[in-house]
Amino acid sequence: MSLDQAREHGEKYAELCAAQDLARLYARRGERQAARDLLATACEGFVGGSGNPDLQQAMALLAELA
Amino acid sequence: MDRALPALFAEVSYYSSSGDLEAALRLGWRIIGVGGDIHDDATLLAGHRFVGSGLLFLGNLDAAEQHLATALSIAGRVERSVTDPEADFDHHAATLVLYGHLKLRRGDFIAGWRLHSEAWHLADRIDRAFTFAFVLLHRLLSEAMTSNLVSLRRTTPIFTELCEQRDIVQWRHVGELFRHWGAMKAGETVAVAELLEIVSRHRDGTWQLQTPFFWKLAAEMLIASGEFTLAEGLLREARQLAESTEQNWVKPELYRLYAILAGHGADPSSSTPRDWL
Repeated sequence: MSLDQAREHGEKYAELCAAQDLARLYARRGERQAARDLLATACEGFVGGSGNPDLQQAMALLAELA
Repeated sequence: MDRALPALFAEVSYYSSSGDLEAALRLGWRIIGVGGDIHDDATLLAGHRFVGSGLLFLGNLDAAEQHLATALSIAGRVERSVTDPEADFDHHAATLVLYGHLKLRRGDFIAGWRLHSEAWHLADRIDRAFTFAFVLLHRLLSEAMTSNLVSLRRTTPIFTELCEQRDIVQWRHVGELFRHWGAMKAGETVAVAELLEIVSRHRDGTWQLQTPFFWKLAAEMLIASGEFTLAEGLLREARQLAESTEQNWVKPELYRLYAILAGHGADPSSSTPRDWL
């Protein structure tokens, strides 16, 4: 719901946050591939932001899931 | 400038602040029309800024970006910096900060923070209290949204002091809300009674635009304090306001908090976190 709403409106930052929450949920259930796919898409397309904590956390989670 | 314009500007500001974004948009379009008819760049700048702002908070980012980009291109041709003297307001600085906020929402950190910086410098240079407060408020929204806590904790006291000193009543309590949120994020315990007092005082005012986001911050603090029932009540209010004013931009964040509440079994709809995410 959060993710769909963010995507529908092109809210990239909100998409990142929602995808991260959902990916953690998937990962806890053992659905690592789904979590990875979701996060990989959400992390794409940012310009700059290497110091941003939300993006850093998402990238770290993505690395953990790899 | 056309003599009817100050009244139109006041009207569009009223509708925008009270969350009637469709009415604000209609008036914004009228202002663009008048600006075209009288070939006045200052009026066109204001019109595109008003329309861009309305679309931004309705969640129509593509159209908002077109109008804000147009406003910025016009701003370069407007000689005087104060484009709406009767309202003590500068639409160029306002456009810069709104465009910066939009860029961050779209994931462009570089353009987003550059525009925020330009807005701050311009607002500081022209020294108009309400314009500066407007710029700082939108900067705070961006800082909270992007978890830019260091910057947020620098901006908050400047904003709060400005609102108090210059009697900018509609945002007087908002700075305190950001201060508490920043402190909570830094690991400090939330003063729940004080927070509820701030919420109550802001609720007594008439400012509705962005208020669902303010309630989101407050609900996050209440959740962190284990006050799930209070958080749920505030989130419900935020959601109703976001629905009635069509502030789609904030809905993904509200749903994320509902997911947290659902994880604690505190969502009365019995939805699961997955349902909300």
